[in-house]
Amino acid sequence: MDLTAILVNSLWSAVFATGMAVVFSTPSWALVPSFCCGFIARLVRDLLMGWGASQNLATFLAAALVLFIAASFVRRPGVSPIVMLAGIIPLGAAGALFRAIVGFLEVSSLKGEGLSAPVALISNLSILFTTTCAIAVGAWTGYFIGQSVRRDQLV
Amino acid sequence: MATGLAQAENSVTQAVTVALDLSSLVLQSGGSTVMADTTLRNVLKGYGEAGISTVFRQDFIAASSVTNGQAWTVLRRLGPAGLHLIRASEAATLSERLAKGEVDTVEFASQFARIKQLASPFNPWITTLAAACAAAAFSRSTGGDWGGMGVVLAAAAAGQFLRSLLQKRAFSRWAITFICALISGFIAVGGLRLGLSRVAGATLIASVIYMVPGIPLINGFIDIASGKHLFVGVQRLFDASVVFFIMTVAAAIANSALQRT
Repeated sequence: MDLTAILVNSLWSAVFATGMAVVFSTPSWALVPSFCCGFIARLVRDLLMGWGASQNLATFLAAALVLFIAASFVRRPGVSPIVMLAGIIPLGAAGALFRAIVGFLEVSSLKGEGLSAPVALISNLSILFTTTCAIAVGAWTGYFIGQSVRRDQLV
Repeated sequence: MATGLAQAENSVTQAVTVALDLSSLVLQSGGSTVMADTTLRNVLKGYGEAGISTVFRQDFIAASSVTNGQAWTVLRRLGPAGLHLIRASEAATLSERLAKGEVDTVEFASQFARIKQLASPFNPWITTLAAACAAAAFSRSTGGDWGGMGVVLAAAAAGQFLRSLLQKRAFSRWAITFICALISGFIAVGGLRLGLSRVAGATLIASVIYMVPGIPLINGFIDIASGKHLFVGVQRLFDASVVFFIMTVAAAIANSALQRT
Protein backbone atom coordinates (compact mmCIF):
# COMPACT_ATOMS: atom_id res chain seq x y z
CA MET A 1 0.00 0.00 0.00
CA ASP A 2 1.52 3.30 -1.15
CA LEU A 3 0.45 5.78 1.52
CA THR A 4 1.92 8.79 -0.31
CA ALA A 5 -0.01 8.02 -3.49
CA ILE A 6 -3.19 7.57 -1.46
CA LEU A 7 -2.70 10.93 0.25
CA VAL A 8 -1.96 12.73 -3.02
CA ASN A 9 -4.98 11.19 -4.74
CA SER A 10 -7.13 12.08 -1.71
CA LEU A 11 -5.94 15.66 -1.99
CA TRP A 12 -6.87 15.84 -5.67
CA SER A 13 -10.22 14.27 -4.86
CA ALA A 14 -10.79 16.94 -2.23
CA VAL A 15 -10.13 19.66 -4.83
CA PHE A 16 -12.51 17.84 -7.19
CA ALA A 17 -15.22 17.72 -4.48
CA THR A 18 -14.80 21.43 -3.70
CA GLY A 19 -15.04 22.41 -7.36
CA MET A 20 -18.16 20.34 -7.82
CA ALA A 21 -19.62 21.86 -4.65
CA VAL A 22 -19.37 25.28 -6.30
CA VAL A 23 -21.02 23.93 -9.47
CA PHE A 24 -23.83 22.49 -7.30
CA SER A 25 -24.44 25.92 -5.65
CA THR A 26 -23.34 24.80 -2.21
CA PRO A 27 -23.18 27.63 0.38
CA SER A 28 -19.78 29.30 0.73
CA TRP A 29 -19.31 28.15 4.34
CA ALA A 30 -19.74 24.51 3.21
CA LEU A 31 -16.80 24.59 0.80
CA VAL A 32 -14.16 23.78 3.43
CA PRO A 33 -16.26 20.95 4.91
CA SER A 34 -16.82 19.69 1.34
CA PHE A 35 -13.04 19.69 0.83
CA CYS A 36 -12.56 17.73 4.07
CA CYS A 37 -15.36 15.29 3.23
CA GLY A 38 -13.93 14.69 -0.26
CA PHE A 39 -10.51 14.06 1.25
CA ILE A 40 -11.80 11.73 3.97
CA ALA A 41 -14.05 9.85 1.54
CA ARG A 42 -11.27 8.98 -0.88
CA LEU A 43 -8.71 8.38 1.89
CA VAL A 44 -10.94 5.96 3.79
CA ARG A 45 -11.96 4.11 0.66
CA ASP A 46 -8.38 3.73 -0.59
CA LEU A 47 -7.09 2.70 2.84
CA LEU A 48 -9.81 0.08 3.25
CA MET A 49 -9.12 -1.25 -0.23
CA GLY A 50 -5.42 -1.30 0.60
CA TRP A 51 -6.22 -3.42 3.65
CA GLY A 52 -8.06 -5.90 1.46
CA ALA A 53 -11.67 -4.71 1.54
CA SER A 54 -13.68 -5.03 -1.67
CA GLN A 55 -14.38 -1.85 -3.63
CA ASN A 56 -18.10 -1.95 -2.86
CA LEU A 57 -17.62 -2.45 0.88
CA ALA A 58 -14.95 0.26 1.04
CA THR A 59 -17.18 2.68 -0.90
CA PHE A 60 -20.18 1.90 1.30
CA LEU A 61 -18.21 2.50 4.52
CA ALA A 62 -16.58 5.69 3.21
CA ALA A 63 -19.93 7.13 2.07
CA ALA A 64 -21.55 6.21 5.39
CA LEU A 65 -18.71 7.85 7.32
CA VAL A 66 -18.86 11.08 5.30
CA LEU A 67 -22.63 11.44 5.59
CA PHE A 68 -22.43 10.55 9.29
CA ILE A 69 -19.95 13.37 9.79
CA ALA A 70 -22.08 15.74 7.70
CA ALA A 71 -25.32 14.86 9.49
CA SER A 72 -23.83 14.82 12.99
CA PHE A 73 -21.37 17.64 13.13
CA VAL A 74 -21.71 19.95 10.15
CA ARG A 75 -25.41 20.63 10.53
CA ARG A 76 -26.36 24.19 11.42
CA PRO A 77 -29.79 25.57 12.17
CA GLY A 78 -31.57 26.02 8.86
CA VAL A 79 -29.25 23.76 6.88
CA SER A 80 -29.80 20.23 5.61
CA PRO A 81 -26.87 17.80 5.17
CA ILE A 82 -27.69 17.72 1.45
CA VAL A 83 -25.28 20.65 1.06
CA MET A 84 -22.46 18.20 1.83
CA LEU A 85 -23.42 15.86 -1.01
CA ALA A 86 -20.46 17.00 -3.12
CA GLY A 87 -18.20 15.36 -0.52
CA ILE A 88 -19.14 11.88 -1.70
CA ILE A 89 -18.84 12.63 -5.41
CA PRO A 90 -15.15 11.54 -5.48
CA LEU A 91 -16.31 8.08 -4.41
CA GLY A 92 -18.08 7.69 -7.75
CA ALA A 93 -16.96 4.89 -9.95
CA ALA A 94 -14.48 7.13 -11.72
CA GLY A 95 -12.26 4.27 -12.79
CA ALA A 96 -15.15 2.21 -14.07
CA LEU A 97 -16.63 5.25 -15.78
CA PHE A 98 -13.32 5.92 -17.44
CA ARG A 99 -12.90 2.31 -18.59
CA ALA A 100 -16.54 2.10 -19.73
CA ILE A 101 -16.14 5.13 -22.00
CA VAL A 102 -12.86 3.83 -23.38
CA GLY A 103 -14.57 0.43 -23.82
CA PHE A 104 -17.43 2.12 -25.65
CA LEU A 105 -14.95 3.70 -28.05
CA GLU A 106 -13.25 0.34 -28.59
CA VAL A 107 -16.51 -1.52 -29.19
CA SER A 108 -17.55 1.03 -31.80
CA SER A 109 -14.39 0.35 -33.80
CA LEU A 110 -14.13 -3.44 -33.50
CA LYS A 111 -13.23 -5.28 -36.72
CA GLY A 112 -13.55 -8.94 -35.92
CA GLU A 113 -10.84 -9.16 -33.31
CA GLY A 114 -10.82 -8.05 -29.69
CA LEU A 115 -14.09 -9.70 -28.77
CA SER A 116 -13.27 -9.20 -25.10
CA ALA A 117 -14.03 -5.46 -25.41
CA PRO A 118 -17.85 -5.81 -25.12
CA VAL A 119 -17.37 -8.05 -22.08
CA ALA A 120 -15.08 -5.45 -20.50
CA LEU A 121 -17.63 -2.75 -21.27
CA ILE A 122 -20.43 -4.68 -19.55
CA SER A 123 -18.11 -5.44 -16.64
CA ASN A 124 -17.24 -1.77 -16.19
CA LEU A 125 -20.87 -0.69 -16.44
CA SER A 126 -21.75 -3.23 -13.74
CA ILE A 127 -18.97 -1.82 -11.52
CA LEU A 128 -20.38 1.66 -12.13
CA PHE A 129 -23.81 0.39 -11.12
CA THR A 130 -22.73 -1.42 -7.95
CA THR A 131 -20.40 1.37 -6.82
CA THR A 132 -23.10 4.03 -7.19
CA CYS A 133 -25.50 1.74 -5.34
CA ALA A 134 -22.92 1.36 -2.54
CA ILE A 135 -22.54 5.16 -2.34
CA ALA A 136 -26.31 5.69 -2.11
CA VAL A 137 -26.88 3.00 0.52
CA GLY A 138 -23.79 4.09 2.48
CA ALA A 139 -24.83 7.73 2.39
CA TRP A 140 -28.31 6.84 3.54
CA THR A 141 -26.98 4.65 6.34
CA GLY A 142 -24.54 7.31 7.55
CA TYR A 143 -27.25 9.93 7.42
CA PHE A 144 -29.67 7.80 9.44
CA ILE A 145 -27.03 7.04 12.06
CA GLY A 146 -26.04 10.70 12.26
CA GLN A 147 -29.65 11.80 12.63
CA SER A 148 -30.32 9.11 15.23
CA VAL A 149 -27.38 10.32 17.27
CA ARG A 150 -28.78 13.84 17.13
CA ARG A 151 -32.34 12.55 17.77
CA ASP A 152 -33.47 15.03 15.16
CA GLN A 153 -36.18 14.84 12.55
CA LEU A 154 -35.30 13.08 9.34
CA VAL A 155 -35.44 14.90 6.07
CA MET B 1 -72.88 25.62 6.78
CA ALA B 2 -72.11 25.88 3.08
CA THR B 3 -69.62 28.66 3.81
CA GLY B 4 -67.88 26.50 6.41
CA LEU B 5 -67.51 23.63 3.95
CA ALA B 6 -66.17 25.98 1.30
CA GLN B 7 -63.62 27.37 3.77
CA ALA B 8 -62.55 23.83 4.68
CA GLU B 9 -62.07 23.05 0.97
CA ASN B 10 -60.09 26.23 0.45
CA SER B 11 -57.89 25.45 3.44
CA VAL B 12 -57.06 21.95 2.16
CA THR B 13 -56.47 23.20 -1.36
CA GLN B 14 -54.14 25.94 -0.15
CA ALA B 15 -52.16 23.52 2.02
CA VAL B 16 -51.81 20.98 -0.79
CA THR B 17 -50.86 23.64 -3.34
CA VAL B 18 -48.15 25.09 -1.11
CA ALA B 19 -46.89 21.63 -0.16
CA LEU B 20 -46.65 20.63 -3.82
CA ASP B 21 -44.85 23.87 -4.69
CA LEU B 22 -42.22 23.43 -1.99
CA SER B 23 -41.81 19.75 -2.71
CA SER B 24 -41.33 20.39 -6.43
CA LEU B 25 -38.73 23.03 -5.57
CA VAL B 26 -36.76 20.39 -3.63
CA LEU B 27 -36.92 17.97 -6.55
CA GLN B 28 -35.89 20.59 -9.09
CA SER B 29 -32.97 21.69 -6.93
CA GLY B 30 -31.29 18.29 -6.67
CA GLY B 31 -33.07 16.70 -3.71
CA SER B 32 -34.08 13.05 -3.70
CA THR B 33 -37.73 12.04 -3.97
CA VAL B 34 -37.56 10.81 -0.38
CA MET B 35 -36.52 14.31 0.70
CA ALA B 36 -39.26 15.92 -1.42
CA ASP B 37 -41.86 13.54 -0.01
CA THR B 38 -40.83 14.35 3.58
CA THR B 39 -40.95 18.07 2.75
CA LEU B 40 -44.48 17.68 1.41
CA ARG B 41 -45.58 15.73 4.52
CA ASN B 42 -44.03 18.33 6.80
CA VAL B 43 -45.90 21.18 5.09
CA LEU B 44 -49.20 19.29 5.27
CA LYS B 45 -48.51 18.58 8.95
CA GLY B 46 -47.79 22.27 9.52
CA TYR B 47 -51.12 23.18 7.95
CA GLY B 48 -52.86 20.51 10.02
CA GLU B 49 -53.88 18.41 7.03
CA ALA B 50 -53.73 14.63 6.87
CA GLY B 51 -55.02 11.84 4.66
CA ILE B 52 -53.54 13.23 1.44
CA SER B 53 -52.28 10.62 -1.02
CA THR B 54 -49.37 11.54 -3.25
CA VAL B 55 -47.73 10.17 -6.36
CA PHE B 56 -44.25 11.24 -7.47
CA ARG B 57 -43.06 10.97 -11.03
CA GLN B 58 -40.14 12.59 -12.76
CA ASP B 59 -42.39 15.00 -14.66
CA PHE B 60 -45.15 15.67 -12.10
CA ILE B 61 -46.34 15.29 -8.51
CA ALA B 62 -49.98 14.49 -7.79
CA ALA B 63 -51.86 14.84 -4.51
CA SER B 64 -55.39 13.60 -4.01
CA SER B 65 -57.95 13.27 -1.25
CA VAL B 66 -61.66 13.33 -0.53
CA THR B 67 -63.22 16.47 0.91
CA ASN B 68 -66.93 16.74 1.71
CA GLY B 69 -67.53 13.50 -0.15
CA GLN B 70 -65.86 14.72 -3.32
CA ALA B 71 -62.63 13.24 -4.62
CA TRP B 72 -60.09 15.67 -6.05
CA THR B 73 -56.54 15.59 -7.38
CA VAL B 74 -54.00 18.39 -7.77
CA LEU B 75 -51.14 17.95 -10.24
CA ARG B 76 -47.92 19.94 -10.23
CA ARG B 77 -45.80 19.69 -13.37
CA LEU B 78 -42.06 19.55 -12.81
CA GLY B 79 -39.65 21.45 -15.01
CA PRO B 80 -36.14 20.31 -15.82
CA ALA B 81 -34.18 19.28 -12.74
CA GLY B 82 -31.16 21.37 -11.83
CA LEU B 83 -28.68 21.46 -8.98
CA HIS B 84 -29.08 24.17 -6.39
CA LEU B 85 -28.24 22.61 -3.04
CA ILE B 86 -28.82 25.75 -0.94
CA ARG B 87 -32.36 25.98 -2.26
CA ALA B 88 -33.05 22.28 -1.62
CA SER B 89 -31.60 22.57 1.87
CA GLU B 90 -33.54 25.68 2.83
CA ALA B 91 -36.81 24.33 1.41
CA ALA B 92 -36.48 21.10 3.40
CA THR B 93 -35.55 22.94 6.57
CA LEU B 94 -38.41 25.41 6.20
CA SER B 95 -40.87 22.53 5.98
CA GLU B 96 -39.36 21.04 9.17
CA ARG B 97 -39.76 24.33 11.00
CA LEU B 98 -43.37 24.61 9.84
CA ALA B 99 -44.11 21.06 11.00
CA LYS B 100 -42.55 21.80 14.41
CA GLY B 101 -44.58 25.02 14.71
CA GLU B 102 -41.49 27.25 14.72
CA VAL B 103 -42.97 29.39 11.92
CA ASP B 104 -46.58 30.24 11.20
CA THR B 105 -48.15 30.06 7.76
CA VAL B 106 -47.67 33.79 7.11
CA GLU B 107 -43.94 33.69 7.80
CA PHE B 108 -43.76 30.40 5.92
CA ALA B 109 -45.18 32.08 2.81
CA SER B 110 -42.67 34.93 2.95
CA GLN B 111 -39.76 32.52 3.54
CA PHE B 112 -40.94 30.37 0.66
CA ALA B 113 -40.98 33.38 -1.65
CA ARG B 114 -37.43 34.23 -0.54
CA ILE B 115 -36.18 30.68 -1.16
CA LYS B 116 -37.68 30.63 -4.67
CA GLN B 117 -35.70 33.76 -5.50
CA LEU B 118 -32.40 32.45 -4.10
CA ALA B 119 -29.61 32.88 -6.59
CA SER B 120 -26.42 30.85 -6.69
CA PRO B 121 -23.85 32.25 -4.23
CA PHE B 122 -21.25 32.14 -6.98
CA ASN B 123 -21.19 34.17 -10.17
CA PRO B 124 -20.85 32.33 -13.51
CA TRP B 125 -17.13 33.08 -13.78
CA ILE B 126 -16.40 31.50 -10.40
CA THR B 127 -18.55 28.50 -11.33
CA THR B 128 -16.66 28.12 -14.62
CA LEU B 129 -13.31 28.31 -12.81
CA ALA B 130 -14.50 25.79 -10.21
CA ALA B 131 -15.69 23.34 -12.87
CA ALA B 132 -12.35 23.66 -14.65
CA CYS B 133 -10.38 23.10 -11.42
CA ALA B 134 -12.59 20.14 -10.49
CA ALA B 135 -12.03 18.53 -13.88
CA ALA B 136 -8.29 19.18 -13.72
CA ALA B 137 -8.07 17.67 -10.22
CA PHE B 138 -10.06 14.67 -11.41
CA SER B 139 -7.60 14.10 -14.25
CA ARG B 140 -4.71 14.04 -11.75
CA SER B 141 -6.56 11.73 -9.36
CA THR B 142 -7.11 9.23 -12.18
CA GLY B 143 -3.50 9.13 -13.31
CA GLY B 144 -3.29 12.08 -15.68
CA ASP B 145 -0.08 14.08 -16.14
CA TRP B 146 0.55 17.82 -15.63
CA GLY B 147 0.21 18.58 -19.36
CA GLY B 148 -3.11 16.79 -19.44
CA MET B 149 -4.21 18.74 -16.41
CA GLY B 150 -3.68 22.00 -18.31
CA VAL B 151 -5.56 20.68 -21.34
CA VAL B 152 -8.44 19.55 -19.13
CA LEU B 153 -8.50 22.91 -17.38
CA ALA B 154 -9.00 24.70 -20.72
CA ALA B 155 -11.46 22.12 -22.08
CA ALA B 156 -13.69 22.11 -18.99
CA ALA B 157 -13.61 25.90 -18.66
CA ALA B 158 -14.74 26.33 -22.26
CA GLY B 159 -17.41 23.66 -21.87
CA GLN B 160 -18.79 25.05 -18.60
CA PHE B 161 -18.80 28.61 -19.96
CA LEU B 162 -20.77 27.49 -23.01
CA ARG B 163 -23.05 25.44 -20.76
CA SER B 164 -23.99 28.48 -18.67
CA LEU B 165 -24.72 30.48 -21.84
CA LEU B 166 -26.93 27.72 -23.28
CA GLN B 167 -28.75 27.25 -19.98
CA LYS B 168 -29.69 30.93 -20.01
CA ARG B 169 -31.15 30.49 -23.50
CA ALA B 170 -33.30 27.55 -22.27
CA PHE B 171 -31.78 24.92 -24.54
CA SER B 172 -32.82 21.35 -23.73
CA ARG B 173 -30.62 19.61 -21.16
CA TRP B 174 -29.64 16.83 -23.52
CA ALA B 175 -28.68 19.28 -26.29
CA ILE B 176 -26.57 21.25 -23.82
CA THR B 177 -24.83 18.08 -22.65
CA PHE B 178 -24.06 17.01 -26.20
CA ILE B 179 -22.79 20.39 -27.41
CA CYS B 180 -20.64 21.06 -24.33
CA ALA B 181 -19.21 17.52 -24.26
CA LEU B 182 -18.37 17.86 -27.95
CA ILE B 183 -16.58 21.18 -27.45
CA SER B 184 -14.69 19.95 -24.38
CA GLY B 185 -13.86 16.71 -26.18
CA PHE B 186 -12.50 18.55 -29.23
CA ILE B 187 -10.26 20.74 -27.07
CA ALA B 188 -9.02 17.74 -25.08
CA VAL B 189 -8.27 15.68 -28.19
CA GLY B 190 -6.66 18.75 -29.79
CA GLY B 191 -4.33 19.03 -26.80
CA LEU B 192 -3.51 15.34 -27.06
CA ARG B 193 -2.76 15.68 -30.79
CA LEU B 194 -0.41 18.58 -30.02
CA GLY B 195 1.45 16.29 -27.64
CA LEU B 196 0.63 18.26 -24.51
CA SER B 197 -0.27 15.05 -22.70
CA ARG B 198 0.52 11.37 -23.03
CA VAL B 199 -2.35 10.08 -20.92
CA ALA B 200 -5.21 10.08 -23.42
CA GLY B 201 -7.90 8.37 -21.37
CA ALA B 202 -7.67 10.48 -18.22
CA THR B 203 -7.45 13.70 -20.26
CA LEU B 204 -10.43 12.92 -22.48
CA ILE B 205 -12.70 11.70 -19.70
CA ALA B 206 -11.76 14.42 -17.22
CA SER B 207 -12.53 17.09 -19.82
CA VAL B 208 -16.26 16.21 -19.61
CA ILE B 209 -16.44 15.10 -15.96
CA TYR B 210 -18.06 18.37 -14.83
CA MET B 211 -21.28 17.21 -16.51
CA VAL B 212 -21.36 13.68 -15.10
CA PRO B 213 -24.79 13.14 -13.50
CA GLY B 214 -23.43 11.93 -10.16
CA ILE B 215 -26.15 13.36 -7.91
CA PRO B 216 -29.07 12.20 -10.11
CA LEU B 217 -27.53 8.70 -10.10
CA ILE B 218 -27.17 8.71 -6.30
CA ASN B 219 -30.68 10.14 -5.86
CA GLY B 220 -32.05 7.43 -8.14
CA PHE B 221 -30.55 4.72 -5.97
CA ILE B 222 -31.76 6.44 -2.78
CA ASP B 223 -35.29 6.52 -4.23
CA ILE B 224 -35.11 2.83 -5.11
CA ALA B 225 -33.60 1.90 -1.74
CA SER B 226 -36.41 3.74 0.06
CA GLY B 227 -38.82 1.14 -1.32
CA LYS B 228 -41.50 3.79 -1.80
CA HIS B 229 -40.32 5.55 -4.93
CA LEU B 230 -39.17 2.67 -7.09
CA PHE B 231 -40.54 3.97 -10.40
CA VAL B 232 -39.26 7.51 -10.08
CA GLY B 233 -35.90 6.08 -8.96
CA VAL B 234 -35.73 3.96 -12.10
CA GLN B 235 -36.74 7.00 -14.18
CA ARG B 236 -33.92 9.01 -12.63
CA LEU B 237 -31.40 6.24 -13.27
CA PHE B 238 -32.52 5.97 -16.88
CA ASP B 239 -32.35 9.74 -17.31
CA ALA B 240 -28.83 9.86 -15.83
CA SER B 241 -27.81 6.96 -18.06
CA VAL B 242 -29.01 8.87 -21.12
CA VAL B 243 -26.94 11.91 -20.10
CA PHE B 244 -23.94 9.63 -19.59
CA PHE B 245 -24.52 8.03 -23.00
CA ILE B 246 -24.78 11.44 -24.71
CA MET B 247 -21.48 12.51 -23.14
CA THR B 248 -19.83 9.31 -24.29
CA VAL B 249 -21.09 9.69 -27.86
CA ALA B 250 -19.94 13.32 -27.98
CA ALA B 251 -16.47 12.38 -26.66
CA ALA B 252 -16.30 9.53 -29.18
CA ILE B 253 -17.21 11.86 -32.05
CA ALA B 254 -14.56 14.38 -31.00
CA ASN B 255 -12.01 11.60 -30.71
CA SER B 256 -12.74 10.04 -34.11
CA ALA B 257 -13.10 13.39 -35.94
CA LEU B 258 -9.68 14.58 -34.83
CA GLN B 259 -8.07 11.18 -35.49
CA ARG B 260 -9.06 11.50 -39.17
CA THR B 261 -7.50 14.93 -39.58
